[in-house]
Amino acid sequence: MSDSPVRTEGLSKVFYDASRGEVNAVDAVDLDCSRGEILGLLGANGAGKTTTLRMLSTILRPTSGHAWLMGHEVRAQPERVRAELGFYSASTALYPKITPRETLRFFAQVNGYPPKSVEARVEELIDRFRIGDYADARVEKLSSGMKQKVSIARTVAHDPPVLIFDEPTVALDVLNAIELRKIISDLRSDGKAILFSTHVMSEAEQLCDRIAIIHHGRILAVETLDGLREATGLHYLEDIFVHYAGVKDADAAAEANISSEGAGASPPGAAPRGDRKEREGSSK
Amino acid sequence: MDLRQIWILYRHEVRSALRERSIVAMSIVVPLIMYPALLWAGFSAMSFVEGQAERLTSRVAISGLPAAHAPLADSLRAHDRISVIEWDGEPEEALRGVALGRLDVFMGFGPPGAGTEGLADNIQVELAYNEASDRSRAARVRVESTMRSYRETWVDEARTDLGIRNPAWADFAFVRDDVATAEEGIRFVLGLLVPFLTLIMVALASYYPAIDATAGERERSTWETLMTVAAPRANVAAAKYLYVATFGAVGGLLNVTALALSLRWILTPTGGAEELATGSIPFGALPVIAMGTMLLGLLVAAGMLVFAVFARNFKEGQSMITPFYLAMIFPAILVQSPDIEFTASLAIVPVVNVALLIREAILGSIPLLPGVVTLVSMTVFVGLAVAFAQWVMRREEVFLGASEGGLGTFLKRRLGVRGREA
Amino acid sequence: MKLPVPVRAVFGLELRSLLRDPRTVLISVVLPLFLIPFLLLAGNWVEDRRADREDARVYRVAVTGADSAFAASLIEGVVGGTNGAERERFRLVEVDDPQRALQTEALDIHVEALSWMEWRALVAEGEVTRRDRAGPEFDGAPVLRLRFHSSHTGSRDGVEVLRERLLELRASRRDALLSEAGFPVPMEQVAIVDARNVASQEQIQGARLGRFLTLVLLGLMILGGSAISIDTLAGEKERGTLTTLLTSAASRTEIVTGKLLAIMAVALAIALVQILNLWLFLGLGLVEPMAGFAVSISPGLAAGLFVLYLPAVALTAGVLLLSSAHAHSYKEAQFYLTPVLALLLVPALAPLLPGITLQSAILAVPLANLSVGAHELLTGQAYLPGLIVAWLVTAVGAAWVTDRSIHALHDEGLITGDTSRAEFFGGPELFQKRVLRWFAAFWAVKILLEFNLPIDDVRTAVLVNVGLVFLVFPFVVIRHFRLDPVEALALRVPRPGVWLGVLIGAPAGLVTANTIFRLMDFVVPVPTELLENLGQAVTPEGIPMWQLVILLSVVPGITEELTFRGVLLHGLRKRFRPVALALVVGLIFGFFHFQIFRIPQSAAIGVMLTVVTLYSGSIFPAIVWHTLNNALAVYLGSEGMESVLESWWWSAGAVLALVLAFRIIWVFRTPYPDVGLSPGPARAEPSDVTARPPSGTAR
Repeated sequence: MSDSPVRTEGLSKVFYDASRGEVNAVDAVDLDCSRGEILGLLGANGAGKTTTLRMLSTILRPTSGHAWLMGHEVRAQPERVRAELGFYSASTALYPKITPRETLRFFAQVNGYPPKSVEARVEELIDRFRIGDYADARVEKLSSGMKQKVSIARTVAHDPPVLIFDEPTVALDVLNAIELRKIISDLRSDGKAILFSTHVMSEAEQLCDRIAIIHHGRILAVETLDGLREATGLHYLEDIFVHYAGVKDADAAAEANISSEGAGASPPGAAPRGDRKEREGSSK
Repeated sequence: MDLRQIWILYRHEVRSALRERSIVAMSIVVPLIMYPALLWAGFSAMSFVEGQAERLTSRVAISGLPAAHAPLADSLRAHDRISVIEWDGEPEEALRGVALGRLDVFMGFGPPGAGTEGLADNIQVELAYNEASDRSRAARVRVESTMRSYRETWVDEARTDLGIRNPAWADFAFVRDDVATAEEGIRFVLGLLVPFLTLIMVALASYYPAIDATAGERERSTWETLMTVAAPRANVAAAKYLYVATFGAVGGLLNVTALALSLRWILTPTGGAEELATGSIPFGALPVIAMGTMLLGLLVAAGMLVFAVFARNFKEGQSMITPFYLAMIFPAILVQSPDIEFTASLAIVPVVNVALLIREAILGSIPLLPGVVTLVSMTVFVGLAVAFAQWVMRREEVFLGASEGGLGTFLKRRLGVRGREA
Repeated sequence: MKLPVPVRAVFGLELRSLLRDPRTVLISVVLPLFLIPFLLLAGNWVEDRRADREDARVYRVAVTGADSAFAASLIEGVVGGTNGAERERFRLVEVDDPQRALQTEALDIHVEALSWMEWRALVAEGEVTRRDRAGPEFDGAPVLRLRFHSSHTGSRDGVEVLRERLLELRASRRDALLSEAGFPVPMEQVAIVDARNVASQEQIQGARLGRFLTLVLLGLMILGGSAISIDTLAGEKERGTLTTLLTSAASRTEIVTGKLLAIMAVALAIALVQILNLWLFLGLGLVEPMAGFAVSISPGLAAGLFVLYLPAVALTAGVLLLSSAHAHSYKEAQFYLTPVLALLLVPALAPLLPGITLQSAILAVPLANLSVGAHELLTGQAYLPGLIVAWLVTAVGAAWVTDRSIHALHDEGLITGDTSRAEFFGGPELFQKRVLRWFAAFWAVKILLEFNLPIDDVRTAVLVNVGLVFLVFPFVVIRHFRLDPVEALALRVPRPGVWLGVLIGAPAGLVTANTIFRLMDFVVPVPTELLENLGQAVTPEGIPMWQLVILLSVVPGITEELTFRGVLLHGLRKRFRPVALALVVGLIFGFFHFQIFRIPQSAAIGVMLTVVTLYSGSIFPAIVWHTLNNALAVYLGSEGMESVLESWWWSAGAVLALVLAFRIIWVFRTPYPDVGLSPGPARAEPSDVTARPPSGTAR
């Protein structure tokens, strides 16, 4: 357990959002991911996938709880954590004015790759991701498919043991998405521990060794696809997801009923803003 | 042209702008807070400087003063900002002291030079000072003024002994007497300041809206949404133009007002010049200033939009407008010279004429012919600028703003087409 | 010293990105290359033209009055002069109504020739605004009244020239008289002064250059560094590359260092290119240097200046980077540029202060000290220990600013644009974040109000400016942030012993503050004229004593305390430790007194009042202290007894009394909540102060 490359314990994050109020975006999440494994985070938009992954990549600080990457705690040793990590998301853009080759060199250097081997590594990456044709054109001139390849090469530039892909296929066309999934599964063969978040069921089905279903900031289940099927007796992941998410919402509704002593069913999952404030005030 | 439609589009632009925090901050909050703060800092520094200069003691070393002239040393000592040091050492040492700033002035007394021996007891002083040091130069002024009054006393005694009596010696007196009232004084200052600021402020206040209405829309990807509404592009362009002009004129006026208000604190008794406390911009000048600002706003808006419309993002917009903005500053500097006369021929030059018109209005007289010429000239120039802006904005590539929509490509294509026709 | 790989990588990336952006290069390098010489040319042209016009100008003079024949002959003398054509600057004209002609610029100077008696009569009637005196030494002589109009350039310049000519004329006529009577030499040769300058030409030019060098360099550096600095953090946020960079293994410190070095390099390079360009233009004679700015700087001096300016470059780059780090977008960063410009350029004006040296308080002001140091270096009066300290002070400032940028990169709200907890809930927590902003705005509004309200009556003006304004502000703040009035205004009952301390402390505090004022006079001397004006403004005449006491003591005592020791102290209480808290509150209180020389003494009283409030946990002792202080000052002022305050013996006694007063207050203390002061013996009593729950729950 403790030698898992990625492990979290009671990881939580509270947000204050102008429209939604106080939000427990991530609520006591426990996860782990081993070498050569793809752990899928499956959830709707706003379920807390991105927030979880951002905490793992040290962009956000957890409100409470812990997370370790390769034994380094995210709050205590953020720099060590980032050295072991490649992070890819829709919001990690590339520098437009430099070339792919310069991009790869820059990120290898900045991530502490041994200086003497940087050039060899860059060549290796260019070969592997087949970006040699445009390795010396400026990034701003590339097509989105090309940019995506450069971006993945950038993510693994320093050969990190842990990779995080936050909804990587969200803006891609079908062909590019297929290619990306192939690359990711190749990376698994290299023995990387990979966290992969998506809201596309088929993607999770195809790619992930285990699937964590996340809803309203909570992990509802972490299992292999077969395990999930067994536990729910359902075949399709979509049904399984609805099963878990639906159960959760029903629980929340019941809880609300009890706490308000039968004063009527409040809409599930949407506690009014005032209640949340109350809770915040009294917990302080 | 459908005025109602333009009005709807215009209202939409203004409303979005007023909800944009940065634009409101720049045109309202900044002047409100920054001018008092800047003027305060400026005035505080001025009074600090004044006090510093007033209190600085001059270190004056004297050497070789004949006993007969002891009263001179006494009058130097009597000066409360001069401290006298009797110098016993080598004069070279003292000169070095002056050069290094340890002394301010060294006075080496000696016998008078050739041709002046006729006067018994006459003396000559070599006054060594350091031109590079403020303190030394101030000391020199103080010492020289003491020497002058010493000389005057001497001559006064001598002429009394020689029997030259007062009406003849006094000869004549003269006094300078300023007929300008305090109000005219402050108007003179405002007349230099306000036109300059109006130009700068109108340019500054149109700057961001102009980029916002074009490049900003592209950046927010609302440009195409707007282009596909069922309104003629000319109307969209007109609405945007009016929006930029409104912000330019109103922003400019607000700035000038805020400044004029903050200025008053310096002119109050505790602040500074007491006699200026009552002056302000004459009421009659206000409509002229308002109208001038409006015309400026209209012209500047058209000019800036022509450039900004080629920009694809905020940053580019900025690079494109900056030269235009700088071009506005030149006439502003020109107007700073008070001896430029507001003639009918100068009134043809746009921007400069408005600045001069505002200056004359503040000074209290509006020359009729140049005033009318200004009005006509500005109207013509605004018309030309708007027509040109309309023409540019109607071009498809400008409206689409694709990668080939840059200024360079636009110019190449226009010029190229003409070349082929010719 | 070799920089870590990530720092070098970030540095390289920044430079490369900049150089591949032709527009930025164009705006920040190429444009100024032409613009600056052009500006110089234009400036020279305007100046030449002005000088030409000035030289060619003929001033029109009209002479009237009883003794006009004599006056006209004098003016003829001035016009005719000794060397003919060159002096032909005045023309005598005939005008019907000289006064009107002066107004309409048909005439430049109106000379009214008066007899001595007529002149005295005019003076007695108060008919003249005099700039020169015609004292008893002119008894019996005719007086020329030179009337001019100061708003008209020709008139204003002309009267100056005429004045000089008349002085010369009188001197030569007197010389003639003396010579006739047998005096051996002309007046000029009595007690001859032979002024000799010991400074070298380089030093004189250095002194002129040194006044503006830092300003120009900083201006050029900001011009050059602003584009890259805005692009480097704000631009990255906008492009989305910041997340990419922040999830790399480079530490925030390394990232910021790399970016800082890049900005420094670019700013420095652009400044040097511009200077080289200017030098080239000057060297080729394409542009005439402005008068007195032809300077040759030796290589050694240049190297010295370079080393001296290094921390200034770092500080400039640091401030630019910080403003970029705090912006969420390119556009926002752009808006910060104007205030940043003002902030950086104002200290660079320091060498313009006459007689300023590094052996003064300026040594503690970053940037200002280096600009004064550069001036000293150029005038050959360098003071090495001063230069070293100045260098270090500015370097520390640069390090601090850089540290703030690193800090900003840790701020989730700035990176992701999320709303913080305080911003979301509003209320007291947000007030603690916004309190300084609110007071800054209040300060500006106060200045505007104070000097623009059209109130003629002094009493009403005081009531509005002091009473109403300082009453409305705390009220608005309490409403807006939903503060608990009792907490925010510290409306608690202090222990009775405190009052004894207040009675002793208030007069002692007044004398001590006055002592500080006198001590400050050595550092920040006050122009005498200003002081006199102020004296009149503070104690208006014709108002009964009791009204004065109420208006100037009781009203400000209550309202100003509610504002400063009330809401301000409440808002800042968790931000600073007690000592810093007292100083900050006191200083802000001082700044609300506007006149720079009043700030130190007001701030001193503000600090005392804050300390009293902190120890007593209540605003009431401060209100009484403040009222007593002002009342005493008003009384002494009206009785003309300020001189009591001028004795150093009183000062020493007052300091002792003040110590005693604070000691008493300390013994009877019930500390202000949340500031971390150790509770006094009051803890044993059932005091309502400590029993109160934290303010968070109160809404």
